[in-house]
Amino acid sequence: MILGLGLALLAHQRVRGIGFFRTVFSSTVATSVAVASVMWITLLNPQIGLINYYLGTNIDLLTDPTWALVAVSATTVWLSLGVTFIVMSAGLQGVPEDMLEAATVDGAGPWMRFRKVTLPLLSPTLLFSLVVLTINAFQSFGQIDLLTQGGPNGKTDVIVYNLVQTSRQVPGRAAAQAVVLFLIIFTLTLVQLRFLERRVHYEGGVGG
Amino acid sequence: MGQVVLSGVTKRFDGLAAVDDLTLDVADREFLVLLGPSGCGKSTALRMIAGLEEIDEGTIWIGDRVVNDVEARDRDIAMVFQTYALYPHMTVAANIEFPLKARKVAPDERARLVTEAAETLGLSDLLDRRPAQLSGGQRQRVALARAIVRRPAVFLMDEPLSNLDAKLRVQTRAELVDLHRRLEATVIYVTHDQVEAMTMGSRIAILDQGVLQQVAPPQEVYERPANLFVARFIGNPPMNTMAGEVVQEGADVGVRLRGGTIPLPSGIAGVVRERDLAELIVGVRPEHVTMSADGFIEATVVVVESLGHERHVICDVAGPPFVIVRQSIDEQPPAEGDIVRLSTEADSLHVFEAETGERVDTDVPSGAAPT
Ligand SMILES: Nc1ncnc2c1ncn2[C@@H]1O[C@H](COP(=O)(O)OP(=O)(O)OP(=O)(O)O)[C@@H](O)[C@H]1O
Ligand SMILES: [Mg+2]
Repeated sequence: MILGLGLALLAHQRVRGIGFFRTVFSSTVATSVAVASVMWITLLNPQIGLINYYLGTNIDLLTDPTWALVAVSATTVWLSLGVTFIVMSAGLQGVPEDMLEAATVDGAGPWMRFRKVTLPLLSPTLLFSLVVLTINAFQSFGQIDLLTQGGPNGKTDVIVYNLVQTSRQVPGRAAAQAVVLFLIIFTLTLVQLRFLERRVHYEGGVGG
Repeated sequence: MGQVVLSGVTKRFDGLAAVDDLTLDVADREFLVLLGPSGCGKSTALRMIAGLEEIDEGTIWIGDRVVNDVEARDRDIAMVFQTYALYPHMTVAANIEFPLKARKVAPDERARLVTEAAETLGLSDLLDRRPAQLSGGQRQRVALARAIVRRPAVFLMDEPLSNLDAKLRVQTRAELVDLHRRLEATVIYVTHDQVEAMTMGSRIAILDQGVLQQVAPPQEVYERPANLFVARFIGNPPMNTMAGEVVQEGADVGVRLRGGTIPLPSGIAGVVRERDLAELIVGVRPEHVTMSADGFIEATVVVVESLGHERHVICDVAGPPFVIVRQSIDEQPPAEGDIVRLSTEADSLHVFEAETGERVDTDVPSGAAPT
């Protein structure tokens, strides 16, 4: 579940230079988990799904033990894409135009401008996204319930889904799981903030 | 090598010309000031030279190269922005080093050049700081250091002093002029501040609504403004101007103004007669108006303002605008409400065609020779 980072990067790649697709990319925000899941069930379907069609394969991606988790992850990624996209766009708006122009005159090409100016100025946004998306990924439930119900063989039985199932039978155990989940997320977030904050530049900040 | 030539350069935004048919010849090592009111197209002109803005029409040369299709990074220019545009996440040293890194200069050479640029601008003790930890003046110097470190042939500066307080601005003005002398590079400097233009420029190019009005050394712009716009824009307090009809009495030609008739010097009178001009606007700078018993125009003193080193006597000449008289502090001030007579020397008179606003003059100096 290192999805958070993948997400941030994925959305970020798309953001670069393609203001054209803005609406399309943001549209997943407006899609509910249920709608998205149904859509993905169709896309992933071995007979009528576009994905198998383009891959030239005939796998039921949702019940295949190797692919189920990937398929569920893809759905989760897709679901978070809109929000990430919007957050990244907002972050990019915060990079002053004249700073990029200064870099242009200074002789930096597009790649150097991105790496040395845009990316550092975007780092607070990146950190924020990473933290939020990681938490989100840990808490995915709806899409799993609708797509795989934790199957096949518990391959997609991720923690929150498992927790909800357990709570129906052994509530005490579920409560304990919830605490553990909380601790995991808490620790992970703390670690992220701790290790990454040092590399993040905050505008006008004294340290760094 | 550092000359910049613009020929018929035009830039339109949504069909409206921000810079209109601009032709300008900036000599190598010149300090040329682009001056004009807000929105007149100064920044746009500068950005076209920098390569940050596409050109709609015309040609730009830098050195002996047409640069219309040359990328900003390959134009051998450096630019100082009004906001300084320092990279906030980098130290002062890294900011200064950035243009060298971008151009893949070897590390030890980079270190040497950064040290040198920092010394030139007195930043040696601040190299490890970040922009947020610097004062406005220090930031401005870092921006300058970042520009000079690579020794480009041409410097472009867009209102680099406008974010400094008044006192620091005066000091930095002098430092910039000194820096220009030491660097022996061409500077194109944008400002809307006429004091900066007058004190720094070897020549001033004045723009209004995207159209070039006059290019000349500061003194000439002041003494022989090419048209009414320049006449009114340059000078503080501004030139007094008044419209009137041409009147002829035998060989003498004068202009009838509110409050009296003012005779024209014979040279200009000749031109007026020859061109059969009927309506003129005459202008006199406040320091050239004197109060004397035999003055041409009658006026009432409205207010006397003392500035410590000089005095402004504001007079009503039977309606707006007021005429401003600049008086030395040793002279006897009139009292408010006094009736006075105003006069001026014939050669202090500026005469413009009422219709076009163009200067009426006997011989128009070419004004192109930069110093
Ligand atoms: N990117 C743009 N899109 C549309 N119009 C623009 C753009 N940039 C400038 N303009 C217009 O062009 C004209 C000239 O603008 P410019 O920035 O060159 O003025 P300026 O002389 O630098 O003014 P200031 O002293 O306020 O900086 C203005 O009317 C401005 O509104
Ligand atoms: Mg401007």
